[in-house]
Amino acid sequence: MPFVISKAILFEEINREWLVLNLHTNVPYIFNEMAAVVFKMMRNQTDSIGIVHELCRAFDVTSEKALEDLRLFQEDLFQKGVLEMSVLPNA
Amino acid sequence: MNRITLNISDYKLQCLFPGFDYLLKRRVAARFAPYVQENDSSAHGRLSVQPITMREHEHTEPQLEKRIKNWIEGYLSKFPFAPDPEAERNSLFSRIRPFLSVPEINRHLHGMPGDEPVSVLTIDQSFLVQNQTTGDSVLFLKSGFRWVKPFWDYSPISVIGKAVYYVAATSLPLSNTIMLHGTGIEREKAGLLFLGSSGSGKTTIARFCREEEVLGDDAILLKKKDNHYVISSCPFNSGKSIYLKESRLAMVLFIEQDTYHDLEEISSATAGSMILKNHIHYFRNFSADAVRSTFQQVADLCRTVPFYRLHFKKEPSFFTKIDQQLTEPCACRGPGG
Repeated sequence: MPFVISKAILFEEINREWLVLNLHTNVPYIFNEMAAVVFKMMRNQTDSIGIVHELCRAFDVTSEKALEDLRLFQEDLFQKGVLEMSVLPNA
Repeated sequence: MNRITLNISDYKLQCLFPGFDYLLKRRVAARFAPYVQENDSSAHGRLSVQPITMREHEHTEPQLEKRIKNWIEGYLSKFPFAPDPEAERNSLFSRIRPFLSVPEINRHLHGMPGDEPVSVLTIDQSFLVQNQTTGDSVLFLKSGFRWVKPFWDYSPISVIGKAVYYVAATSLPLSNTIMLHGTGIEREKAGLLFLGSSGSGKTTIARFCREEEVLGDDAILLKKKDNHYVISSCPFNSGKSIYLKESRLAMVLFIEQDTYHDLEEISSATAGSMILKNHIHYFRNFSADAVRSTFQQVADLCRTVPFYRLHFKKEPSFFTKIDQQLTEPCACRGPGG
């Protein structure tokens, strides 16, 4: 599913973790180091295939496992308002 | 018009009183004594006090109701986990609605453009409207002028005090100061900030200290000066904190009453999240600019000082644990350390 980082999100890296705040709800979240790695790639507009490829290369996981975990992570962020649906067809 | 200026951590709030109560200005000045700045007409924000009289069964315009309902929706969106949003919505609206038909409030809200961000607050049967763009607020004080009043009547000073508290908490972030729900102590020239919810033991900790060590037992101001953070007193605490004091912050402790003493380091991001979630006064009423400024400041604080969870019994010997930590090298992080 094509997601982009919501404009209503503030984030700061603090000691390898990320502090994230949803401006709509003022609810803060913390991304652990693993989530931070993925979130950084999403910030750099790496697409899902690129992220999965990088996860497989860096962490020695299968592409199926990485893809499934990425999907769950993105869905969770979507529920929390951190990600929103992209309006661009190929984003 | 009577006026006084309060200087709270370099944020100047001008309070304007109409002439309906000649003693009011004097009593407010006494309440905020160390923070009153004489002969200063400059201000970052204004709080005007206006007396109102409530009448029942007055007509409320649907347009105004709609505007307030929109505001309530925006406010409730900040409580995504509320168990019963419908009940919250009804309760909020029923508290606000009687004020909408008051002519002075009606006129004031009509005078503000529809897209101007406002926040509203009911305080002990009075009504506060804050313009989040200009930072100016009006407190509509119920039955503000009564020479003879029943003995059970509310105290206008208490209402004005709460209004100043709200305006300061929501405006200070724009001057890079945050008001935190906590106790501040200075110990051996090190500032200690104890954060905890109501009933967690903040006042108990303040009671274990000498009066001159306490900066505040409920509300503490946090500000960056040069490359370190300072905590300072503010006028919203009980007796021990009426003096203007500040101290360089050495550590932040999240307190938990327990059956033992222990100090456990917690991750900076976790601490930042806890501060944003639980320890900033009226955070959900902040304007978007104030939220951004607060977020940046909390993130910066997290990189600067260490954070601990303090388990403590109700006796002062837990300070030994803190003193040990303070004497260890590198108690502070980053450039401020």
